[in-house]
Amino acid sequence: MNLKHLQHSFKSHLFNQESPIAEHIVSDQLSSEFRLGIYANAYATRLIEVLEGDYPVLHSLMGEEAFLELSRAYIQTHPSTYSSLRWFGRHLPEFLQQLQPYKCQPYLAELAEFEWKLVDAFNASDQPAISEHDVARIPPDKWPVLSLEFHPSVHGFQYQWNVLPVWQAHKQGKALPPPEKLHQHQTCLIWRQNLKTLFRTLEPDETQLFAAAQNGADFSELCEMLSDWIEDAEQIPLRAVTLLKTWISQALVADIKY
Amino acid sequence: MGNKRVVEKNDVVDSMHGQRPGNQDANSLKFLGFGLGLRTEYYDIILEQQPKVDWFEILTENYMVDGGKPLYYLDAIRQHYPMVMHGVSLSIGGTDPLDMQYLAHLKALVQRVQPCWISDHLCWTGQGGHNLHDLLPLPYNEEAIQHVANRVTQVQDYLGRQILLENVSSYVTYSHSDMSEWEFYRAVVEEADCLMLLDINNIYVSARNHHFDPLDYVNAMPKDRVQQIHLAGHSDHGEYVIDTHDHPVVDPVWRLYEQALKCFGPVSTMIERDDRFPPFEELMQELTQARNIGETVFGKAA
Ligand SMILES: [Fe+2]
Repeated sequence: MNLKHLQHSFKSHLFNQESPIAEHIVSDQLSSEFRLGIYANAYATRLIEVLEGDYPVLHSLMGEEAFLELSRAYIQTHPSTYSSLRWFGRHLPEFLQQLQPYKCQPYLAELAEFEWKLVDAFNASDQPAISEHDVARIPPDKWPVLSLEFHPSVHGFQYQWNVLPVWQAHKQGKALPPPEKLHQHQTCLIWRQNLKTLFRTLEPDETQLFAAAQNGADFSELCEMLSDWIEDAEQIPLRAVTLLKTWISQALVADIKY
Repeated sequence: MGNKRVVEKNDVVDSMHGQRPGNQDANSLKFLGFGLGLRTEYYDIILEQQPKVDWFEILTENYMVDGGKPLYYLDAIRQHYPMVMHGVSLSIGGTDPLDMQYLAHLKALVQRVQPCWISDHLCWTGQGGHNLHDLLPLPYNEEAIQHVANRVTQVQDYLGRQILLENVSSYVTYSHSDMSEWEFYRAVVEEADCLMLLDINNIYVSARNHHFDPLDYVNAMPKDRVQQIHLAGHSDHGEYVIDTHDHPVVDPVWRLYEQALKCFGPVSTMIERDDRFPPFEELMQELTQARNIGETVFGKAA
C-alpha cells in the first residue's frame, strides 16, 4: 500500500469507519480498531465543536441530542474542504432547508442563516467606512446620481419567525421562547462596527431603500421610492438624507460613487 | 538553501555575548527565551498588562481571515512582542499537491507578522481535497522520508526560508513502518535541511502509546536543528494518553524537558494551552517553572 492509498484508506475510516486501514495498523494491548477510533472520535468531535461555536443558539434551541444528530449528518454530507475551519459550517442553513425532518421546522434554517451572517460579519474584511466629512464634499449637483457601496460586513436578513427574541434570550441566559411565526416578513441589518458585530431591525421604507441601494439604485431613485411611503413631497428628501446619515454614522457605507 | 536562511547557524553575536553559557558549540540557533501560545482568551490581558513573556507563538490559520478582531489583536500585540508562526494545514506529508493558495496566504501573513520563524507539523492533514483538521501520522519508511523531504524543499524555496517541523502525538503504528519515529524524524529534517520544533509532551505521549523510552528519542535528535520546544498537558487514560493541551504540564514531561536542555543547550521554549483555559497567572507560573529548569541547567544567565 503506497502513501496515497494509505491516506485515502485512513480518511475513509474517519468518514464512515468503512475501510481496510485496520489491517495495516499494529495491534497490541490496544486493538487497531480502538487505536483508529481515537482518530475517528477526534475528527467528529472537532467538527461538532466548530458547529456548536458557529451556531450556539441553534444548538440551544434544538437541544444536545438533536444538534448532535444534525451535526453528524452534516459532517457526512459536507466534509471540510478549506484549510480554515471558518468556512466549514457555511452550508448548514441550506442543509436545514432541504432535509427532513428539519425542513418541516423552517425556523431552524432561518435561525441558522441569522447566526451564519453574524459569523460572516465578524470575519469580513477591514475596509474603512466613509464619514460625514466625505459626504460634505459631494458637489450639490451630483446628489441625484450618487450611489452607495456598503461595507463588506453588511448583510440584510429577512425573517418571518421570532428569531431575534430567541437569540436575545440565549444571549441573556434566559429560557428560549418557543418558535412563533410573525404576522409578516421583517428585515434586519447585520454589520460590524468598531470590532463589534451588531444588528438592528429596519422600518419598511428603510428595508426597501436598503435593498435598492445595495442593488445600485442612485439617490434620485431612492427618493422616488420614498413617495410610496411619504405623501408630503417636501418630506421625502429629508427622510432620504436622514437614512443616509444613519447609515454613514453606523459605518455601513464603504464608498459613495458619483 | 544555505544563503536563504533567516536564522544563521553560526550566530556569532549570540555565542560571543554568552547568552548560551557553556553551550557555544551545542546549539547556536537564535534563542528567544520563554514564550506562550497566543490565544483569544488572553488578548485583552496581554494588551492591558503586557506580561513578562519573551515572545508569543500564533496559530497561523486563526489569522488567515479577511479582517475583524483576530487581525486587530494580532497587530496590536505584535507591537509589543516578538512572534513566531505555527501552522496546522501545510499537510507536508500529504499526497495531494501542495496547496499553493494556502502557501500564498501564508507568505502574505509572514510579511505582515515578520515572525522570527515559522513551523508546521510532520504529518498529513488532508486527502482528495478534503481537510481532516487533524495531525495524522505517517508511516516511518524511506518512501515517506523522500516524499516529505521533497515537499519541504518546495515549501522552503517558495517561502525563501527554512521552516521548522514539529513531531506530533500518535495513537497508531503502521505495519509499513520499518524504523522508529525518531529515526524517521531525524532523516526527514536532515534530508530536507529544515529545523525542528520538538514537542516534549508529544514525545512523552507517543512513548506511552507505543511503549518506547522517551529518552532514546531525545538523545537521537540532531541538536543543531532544534530551534524551538513545545511543552503542554495531556489527558491520561492509563493504558493510553491523548494530546489534548487542556491540562498543566505533568512532572515526567518537566523531567524530560530538563534532560532535553542538557542535551541541546538553551532552546526557545513555550507552553501550549488550547482548552480548559486557566487564569493567565497559572500559565505564567508554568512558564516560570520552565525558566527555573533552564536556570538549573545553565545558571542564571539563561
Ligand atoms: Fe506542539
